Amino acid sequence: MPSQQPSATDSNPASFPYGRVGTLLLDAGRVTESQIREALGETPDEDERSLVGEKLVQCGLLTQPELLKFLFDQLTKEREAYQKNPISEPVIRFRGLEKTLDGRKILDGVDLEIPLGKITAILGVSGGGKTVTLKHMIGLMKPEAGEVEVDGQVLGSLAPKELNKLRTRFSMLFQGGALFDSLNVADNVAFPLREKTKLKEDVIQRRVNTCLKQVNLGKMGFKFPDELSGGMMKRAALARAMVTNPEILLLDEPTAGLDPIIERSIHHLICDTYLRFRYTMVLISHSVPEIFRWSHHVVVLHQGKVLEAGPSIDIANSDNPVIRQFLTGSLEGPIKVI
Amino acid sequence: MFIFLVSTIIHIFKPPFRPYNLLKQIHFIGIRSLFVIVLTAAFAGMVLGLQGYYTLSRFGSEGLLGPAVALSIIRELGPVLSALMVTGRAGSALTAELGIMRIREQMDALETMGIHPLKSLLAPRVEAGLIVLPLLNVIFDVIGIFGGYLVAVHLLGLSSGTYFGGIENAVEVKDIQVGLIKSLCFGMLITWVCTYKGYFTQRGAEGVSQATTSAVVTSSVLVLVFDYFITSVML
Ligand SMILES: Nc1ncnc2c1ncn2[C@@H]1O[C@H](COP(=O)(O)OP(=O)(O)OP(=O)(O)O)[C@@H](O)[C@H]1O
Ligand SMILES: [Mg+2]
Repeated sequence: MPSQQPSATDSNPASFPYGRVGTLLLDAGRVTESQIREALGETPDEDERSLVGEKLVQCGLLTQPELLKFLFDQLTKEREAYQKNPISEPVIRFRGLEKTLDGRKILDGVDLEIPLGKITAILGVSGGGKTVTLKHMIGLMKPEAGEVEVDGQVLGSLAPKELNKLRTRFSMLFQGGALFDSLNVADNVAFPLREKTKLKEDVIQRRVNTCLKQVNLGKMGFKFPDELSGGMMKRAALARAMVTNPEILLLDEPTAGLDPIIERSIHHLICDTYLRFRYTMVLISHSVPEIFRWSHHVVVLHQGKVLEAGPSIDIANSDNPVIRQFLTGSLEGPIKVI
Repeated sequence: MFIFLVSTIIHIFKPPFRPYNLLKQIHFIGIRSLFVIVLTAAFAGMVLGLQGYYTLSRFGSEGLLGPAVALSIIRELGPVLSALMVTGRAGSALTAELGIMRIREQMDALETMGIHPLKSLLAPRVEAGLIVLPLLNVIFDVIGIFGGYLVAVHLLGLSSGTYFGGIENAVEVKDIQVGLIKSLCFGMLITWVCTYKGYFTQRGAEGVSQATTSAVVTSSVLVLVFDYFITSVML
């Protein structure tokens, strides 16, 4: 394993006394150990350790743009390493998945693998079945043929209880947000914590506030979903998906309908969150070619099948006409729109 | 549809219990229906008083007005009318709310969080229906009989002793039991049909409106059908 990613797949946060990001910064020689200690204080808890970057910025030891750039460069390094050595055990695996909806075959024998602890982007034309694919991963839809395997467990064979248990390791951002209308933003974000954990109310409040700040909705907690703009709704839903610290994060178009600045900040947030927690992330996105710079692995869906899958750098350089057309957005090519 | 009911009822008895959710539903189905119930009850009682007096006086038996009003309200009108009113006011809203949650993927969101919609959304509503309808029924009975009293005594000049005395003699515990059993059944029927229709809503706003209409029509018809059967069994 390359030295710049010290035990990247190590799932025990306790083995990073300065948080994962702190360790990265140390290894790169950006800060010294005493600076990190100063920023973190005496006995930081897990939440605080994961926010080491923000703390350093607050102490003036690093500027915000420097931190973002550092994290982005880190991700780029990892992407390059992944391209050279794309071995990672799959955590989700589809085998010959078929699904017909309304008499139309949406998935027609999809085989795909989502690598553990990496960011995977799913691309494809609108209406091509990306959301349907994502819903199969978490068992919201059931295939007619083929199977979905998560961590070696076949979803279709699980009892409802086991499925529920498995689902607590996931978190999903729906394309439409799916915020609960009857709750305000803060309560929406707190909802999964209140329902599924035994955390104390003040801990929940603190975590909700942190999450809302990260998506730039710090002062919007009291608003109700119908009072938000589309982009704010999306960001609130993103906060709700991230608040539970899941192992696998499924994001259905986290940046659709956002202005370019917010879109960039969401990409940074995803990168940032990834480096902090090393979740497995699956995201559907239309922001081509931008998304290639933010993901390790790319899966291209076309006509109900996986057209190509592999490290993002390889796919970006693919000479498959469909992918080329997708990358250039040209009207001429194998994808017919009119 | 029956399996749906059974699994909802199973979920009522499964922990974790959230009394707050239940209270919210009782408030929604019960307290907020109170006004309609009081209004219908008062007028139903008054009409019965008027009509009953008119009919009974032909046979010279105005004295039986009290029992006539009380028995028809306690055994029939109370449970049936309160059920119909709750269907119209709360049942339709309940279907629409669940339907919207379904089409906006909020139900799916719950499921992905490992929370079963049956447990967190449907069980408290069915439970609230079971608790609330008998209570509303009792309120309906009291107000209805009082409405009859207003017309009979203050408008038509019957003595209040005749009115209430007759009721005391004629109404048995069994009559009240029948009324309560009916309203319990209707409570389950309404929430069952309405949550079922909402839960299985499909296809956008049109789907929600279809689900709501069909929930109201189905539960109203079923209330009357079941009323007939319960009456014939328990007569
Ligand atoms: N619940 C459903 N019932 C019937 N058809 C559906 C359902 N969900 C999706 N479809 C159909 O499946 C196809 C693929 O839908 P999907 O939502 O996966 O597209 P997508 O790739 O996510 O597109 P977009 O990028 O626009 O979100 C569409 O043609 C849609 O009409
Ligand atoms: Mg989609």
